[in-house]
Amino acid sequence: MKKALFIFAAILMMGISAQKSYAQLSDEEYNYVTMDLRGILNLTMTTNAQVDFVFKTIQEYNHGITQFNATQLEVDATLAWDLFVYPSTDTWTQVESYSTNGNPTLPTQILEMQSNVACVAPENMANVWKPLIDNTNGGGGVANVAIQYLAGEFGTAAGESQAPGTAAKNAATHKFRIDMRLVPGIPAEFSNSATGTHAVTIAAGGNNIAFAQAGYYYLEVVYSLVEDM
Amino acid sequence: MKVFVVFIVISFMTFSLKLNAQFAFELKQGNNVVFDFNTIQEYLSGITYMNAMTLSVNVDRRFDLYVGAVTTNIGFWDEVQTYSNIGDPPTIDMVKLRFRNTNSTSQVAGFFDLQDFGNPTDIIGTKGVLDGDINCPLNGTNTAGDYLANPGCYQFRVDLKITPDFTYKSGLYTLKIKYYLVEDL
Repeated sequence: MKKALFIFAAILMMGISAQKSYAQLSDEEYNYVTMDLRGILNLTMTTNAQVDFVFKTIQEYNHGITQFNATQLEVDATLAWDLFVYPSTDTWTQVESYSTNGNPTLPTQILEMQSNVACVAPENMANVWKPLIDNTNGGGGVANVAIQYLAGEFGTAAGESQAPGTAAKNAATHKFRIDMRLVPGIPAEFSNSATGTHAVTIAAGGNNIAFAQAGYYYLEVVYSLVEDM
Repeated sequence: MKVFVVFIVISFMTFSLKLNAQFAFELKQGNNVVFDFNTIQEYLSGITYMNAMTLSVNVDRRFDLYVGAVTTNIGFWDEVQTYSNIGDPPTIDMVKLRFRNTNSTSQVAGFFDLQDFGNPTDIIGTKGVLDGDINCPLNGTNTAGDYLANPGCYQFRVDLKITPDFTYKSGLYTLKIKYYLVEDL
């Protein structure tokens, strides 16, 4: 009897000790989370794409026509970015002529532009009137040091790009108001384009006549938003 | 002699109970969750996945529940691929979690920042601390129970939310969120 009692006690002790030493129970579950932060660059023109300059008075020829806020651009970007501008052709395209004299080949430089957004690129138009440089003398439509920047500049070093963000939250840096002007003068020599770093005269092209032929012309201006890389 | 037999039977019953311990997440509904930010609106407003995880708890003893992220570099997402040279590496705290059930038993109300699993967020109880009993339906319910009888206390629906804004480097990233149910010892 005593032996049986002893055995039972031993079993009971084993049971108690086993109860105290069992492993801590646990279970686990996982979420596998993937995040894809896509690169987004949105350039939006909030104004009419067409800007008309109609010269029909002597006053307009002499003093020119200035279109403030001719083009407004908004940039929304998730990446660092640059914005530059260039003409799609080196000269204005004549649609119709109203005269037989004068030069029908007008350089892009007769169009002057300025932007309200600060920019430190070598070629910029931040708060100063600058002629629109043709592709032969300018950057050729791709990011390089010669192209006219509205924001950022060529290169990827600090300060050479505009930060990601939206136009709604960053009006000073992501909203562009582009002014445009044409000052033909009489005769229509567009003398403003004959000064400055990229000076060009009307006489330098076409039939080498020094003034513009009366007519209907158009020029396509390209705004290019690119990732700073 | 009969007494011994009874004791021995009771003793085995004890062992038998231990073998059948109930302590688990059941009806696991974990998902792969993909946050795909491809519009400005999504960057600004964020993306929320409701019920990204449903945790159904069945326990026969007091428990702790906590959650944290598992990544290679503590505090940062694991990078698969980047699309840009500029921007900061995304941190795990941009992930917000919310635990919901009918009785709001989670100790953390509303959305909170995800932390590394080494320093997890306690949803029920406190990691490494022996807590007192809190019975259903009180906040912090940690006593035995199961989601079938009391889903309002033992079933948790987890919502995930990310609002990246524009600080982080564009790219593809991953992380694991670990939900840990453990006996409160």
